[in-house]
Amino acid sequence: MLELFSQGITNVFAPFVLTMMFIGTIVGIIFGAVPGLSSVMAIALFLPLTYGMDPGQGLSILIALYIGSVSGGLISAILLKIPGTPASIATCLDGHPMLDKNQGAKALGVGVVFSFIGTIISIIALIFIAPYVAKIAIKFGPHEYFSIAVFSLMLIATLSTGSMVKGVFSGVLGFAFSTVGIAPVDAVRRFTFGSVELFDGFDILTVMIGLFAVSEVIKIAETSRLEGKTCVAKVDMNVKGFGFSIKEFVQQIPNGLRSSLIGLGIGILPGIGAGTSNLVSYTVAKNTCSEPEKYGQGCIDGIVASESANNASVGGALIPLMTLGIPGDGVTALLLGAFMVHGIAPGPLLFVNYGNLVYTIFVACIVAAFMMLVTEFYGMRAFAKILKVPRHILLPIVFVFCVVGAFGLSSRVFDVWAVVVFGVIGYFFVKFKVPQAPFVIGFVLGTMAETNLRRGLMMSEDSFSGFITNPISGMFLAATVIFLVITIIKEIKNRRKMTNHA
Amino acid sequence: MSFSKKKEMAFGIIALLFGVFYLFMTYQIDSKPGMVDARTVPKILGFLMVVLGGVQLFETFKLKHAEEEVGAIDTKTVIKTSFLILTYIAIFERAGFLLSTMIFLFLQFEVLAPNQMKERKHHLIYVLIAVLVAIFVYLSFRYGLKIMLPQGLITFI
Repeated sequence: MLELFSQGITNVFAPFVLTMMFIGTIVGIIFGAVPGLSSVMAIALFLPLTYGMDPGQGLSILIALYIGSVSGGLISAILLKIPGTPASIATCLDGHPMLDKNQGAKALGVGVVFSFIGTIISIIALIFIAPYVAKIAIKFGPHEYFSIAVFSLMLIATLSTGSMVKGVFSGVLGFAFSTVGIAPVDAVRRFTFGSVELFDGFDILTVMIGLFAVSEVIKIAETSRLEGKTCVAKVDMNVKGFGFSIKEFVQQIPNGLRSSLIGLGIGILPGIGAGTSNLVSYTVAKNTCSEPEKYGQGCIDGIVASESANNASVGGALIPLMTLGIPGDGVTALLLGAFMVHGIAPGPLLFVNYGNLVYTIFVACIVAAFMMLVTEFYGMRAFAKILKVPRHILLPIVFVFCVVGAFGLSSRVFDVWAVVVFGVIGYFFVKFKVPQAPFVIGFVLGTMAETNLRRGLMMSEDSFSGFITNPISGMFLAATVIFLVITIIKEIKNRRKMTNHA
Repeated sequence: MSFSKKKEMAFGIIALLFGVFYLFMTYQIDSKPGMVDARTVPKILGFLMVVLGGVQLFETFKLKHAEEEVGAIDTKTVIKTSFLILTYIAIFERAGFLLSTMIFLFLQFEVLAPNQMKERKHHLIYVLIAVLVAIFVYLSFRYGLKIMLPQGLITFI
């Protein structure tokens, strides 16, 4: 392990990688901070650059973007009272009141430091948990993989925000798109409409870029011309250290630790991540506090809870991605695509065959966390200015990079059209308030579920019993059924309540 | 609940229609003897989509009242943007990356620009950014990252 670590350090501490990671961190923070720009867009922007690099270099840069963008949301959450990303909604609640009390610098300082702490805690967890999960997962066969995929699909479809019918539909639709192309096991052509280009199905990257980045570009057109100028609050950043005392820091340690663990746990679950964990940990912090009334009035506890939780979800989300190949959200689905561009499939074998790459990613996470800490705090004044960046100029440029990224996959315009098609689907999703995440997870896990279903059935001669008698597989299937029943009962009760009120 | 009933209904209809279409296409897939074949999973998915679409429609019929959505939407700009994106991709390979990107970026900036950012100096800035970004991306990908973007009509760089 130590040897692999030192290899990872050598890989990351190359001048080229460090420089690119530094740029990545800054761009990530900007995309996290500016409302309307997202982590997925930041990664879509850099993705084509990584095609030609070796996988370690490329993924290190993408990790820097990811960590930077999750944290960057706190800047606008405090200075604009608009969360830059859904990951920092709860940061607004106390961040802005603190700004009004002239404690803006302190709020930013606390946010940055606890973003850092949350990231580090989750990365330590990642480093220690992931290899063990991988060791267990390496014994998994088609039965286990099928059941885990089904369980994750059910979880994401029911846990995603909004109506359950729409969440499930989104997941099923994603699954349906994954069936385009040559079928697993018997290689029958499906839904290809006679087009050779559809034989291989859609690339995960075109799905992601279209659904999350291109749809936003179209959406921005709705309001772009009607917009006035954004007002960014001026903050005096001439403070000592990070703007808060050691005593305050020590007081916040239990809160920060608890919130980080909540963030980590939520990050591990597929389908929900930083966007949920910041709100959950804020609520938990408020409910366990002896003076809950101070929350929302501008206390640092709220910022600590939100910011440590959302960043801790990063390390959490990387655990199922790296050990099982299951992405938890949009960003990790993009990272999955980035692995696959280099012909590497994340999963337990990653730890056996590409130990070097795994530890390079671990080291990159730690380095990116430090870069985020330093650049975000000392560059705060510059970042505050960038909040005014005109989106009508930035978004078309992002779109051009999306096109380049799609085209660069295999030099065919077909992939660019795919991006646009998924962009339109994504836009309709936004319009109809259908969550996008289940679609992506359905797309990724759909292939996994079907392939392993067919393989498993072949092993047990077309009998489904193998999926139930296998202990791990049976357990996940049982959990799926139980969870589904509970959710449906809850949903029906909620509907009754609503119709009674109406 | 601030969502119009029409939209909820439209979503149900689209979901239902897509489910039916998908199911129809599923029955065009080659079938092989055996209990489970390449049709099995798509059949389940198609069936689920039809059911979900149906549930959605049923729910909206029961819904008594739903508030209208608030906030102005600039439909014209959305249509113009979609048109620009489609044209850009359609000419991407023929016209080449440089030319198509320059034109796309400039027009897209103009379409999205807020009204107060449409003075003469702004137009000049938009032209400049469009040209510089296109050249920068093209050269850095072609020579730096060895990703060949379509050359098209401009063949001299």
